[in-house]
Amino acid sequence: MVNEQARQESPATDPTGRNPVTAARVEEILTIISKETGLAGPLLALDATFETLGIPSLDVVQTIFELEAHFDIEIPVVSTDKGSEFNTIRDLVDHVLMTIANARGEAINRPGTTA
Amino acid sequence: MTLPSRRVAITGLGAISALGTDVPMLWSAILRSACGIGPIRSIATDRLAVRTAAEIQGFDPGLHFDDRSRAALDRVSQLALVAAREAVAAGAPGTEAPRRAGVVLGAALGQATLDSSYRSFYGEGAKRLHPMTVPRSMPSAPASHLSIEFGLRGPCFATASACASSAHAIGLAFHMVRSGMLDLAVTGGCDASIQVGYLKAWDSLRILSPNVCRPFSRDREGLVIGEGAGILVLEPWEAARARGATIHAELVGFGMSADAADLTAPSATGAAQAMRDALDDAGLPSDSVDYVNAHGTGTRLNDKTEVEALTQVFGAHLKKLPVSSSKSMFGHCLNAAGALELVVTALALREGVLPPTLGFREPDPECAIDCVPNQARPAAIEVAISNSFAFGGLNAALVLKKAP
Repeated sequence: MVNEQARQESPATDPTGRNPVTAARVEEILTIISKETGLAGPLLALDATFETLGIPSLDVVQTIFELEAHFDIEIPVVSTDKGSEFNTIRDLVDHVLMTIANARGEAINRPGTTA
Repeated sequence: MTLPSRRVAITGLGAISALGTDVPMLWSAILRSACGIGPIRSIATDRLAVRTAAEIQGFDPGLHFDDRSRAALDRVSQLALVAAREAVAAGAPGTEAPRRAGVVLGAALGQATLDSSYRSFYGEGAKRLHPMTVPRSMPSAPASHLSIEFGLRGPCFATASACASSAHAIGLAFHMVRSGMLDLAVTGGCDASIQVGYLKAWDSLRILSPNVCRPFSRDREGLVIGEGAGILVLEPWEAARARGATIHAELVGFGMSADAADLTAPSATGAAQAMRDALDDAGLPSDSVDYVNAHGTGTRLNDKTEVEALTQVFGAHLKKLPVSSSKSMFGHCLNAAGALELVVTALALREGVLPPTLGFREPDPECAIDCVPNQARPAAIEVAISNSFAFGGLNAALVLKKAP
């Protein structure tokens, strides 16, 4: 079940389709997730959950480690009252996009903003 | 009150050490009286005072583990798995493990993981450490990997008593099988400590030999660090016989003691007590022992103290009791030492051959024993004892009997 509002506010979705930098980063992130989890790209739908994809938590941690190395960033821990930091692939991709943007001093291109 | 007491058979043996990557290679090296000690090749030695060790040659992790599983395995767990696969392939009672099947290993840190992560964090200013650093380096990791590999769901843990760790582990596993707590035990130890930072710390103790290890020889200069793993499969005797398993030897006695004295200097009294308790546990008199696989580190102090302890336990019988040190061949394998040496002791009984003490040049009046100098020799032996005496004054002795 996808939260429609969250999906529209998701940087990964980039509904305007005008930000090729973001789109390229999403592809890079998905490529790394695919490599680390051993799951083929087409399986990694943004709204698929780590649980339904059967990705163990240690693989998520390993993926984050590789993403940090690839983008030369430190990905902060997301505080959560749920069982895991990230529920869906989108949650992780968004968090990484935000972290990259913060690290590079970029504004986040959200729907409804004037970035 | 009578506790159930079952005879315990050793039905599987596995070994990897500087003498080779499996038990046949180990035994062939012993028959040839070959030495696994040499100049260190696997790490940079420019900052080390002593540049000699007993390194494993010809071990390619890629042949045993895929990239994905290797990410979770420190070298020490790799060695444990390789030895365990050999022991279990030869000794497992079928595809399904009994319900009460467990793992008891000597505790062993993932030294390669710790060394490389500290180097990258402090030395190279790394911003992050690999997420597997903790699970790879924890001292119980090798035990967990064996439990996962073979689906063993009973007691699984690691014992810590420095260089006696794996002897204590095997002793506990033996008592657990004997008492009915376990129907199958995969036990032993592993060590992969040839890392720059750890060897540098050994340098400071001033007990490493700069070249070879000469236990009981008057001109001995110290110990040589080795690496490896020794794994044994233990089962109740009757169950092993019923399924027609090969029984390499019978484990009959275990004794342990503490010196309660010095952190590094050994005590003859404490060592003697462990041997006496092991013989009592086996219900055997001291003059029934035909061979001792000594702790025999090759340091001045250990060897003379061990001979003093042997004199206390065996008295006049020591005159005709061969005592040899396998550390002269594959080095001091620390947490794996007791296990590798028990594998050697079991093979000695099975094959009727006394393993040699290499590097022997000159008798020492303080070590007046038959140390089987330099050359393996045939001997019909029925009962053997294997000693492990650790830093901290922690002692263990295990008694084996030849299988009929």
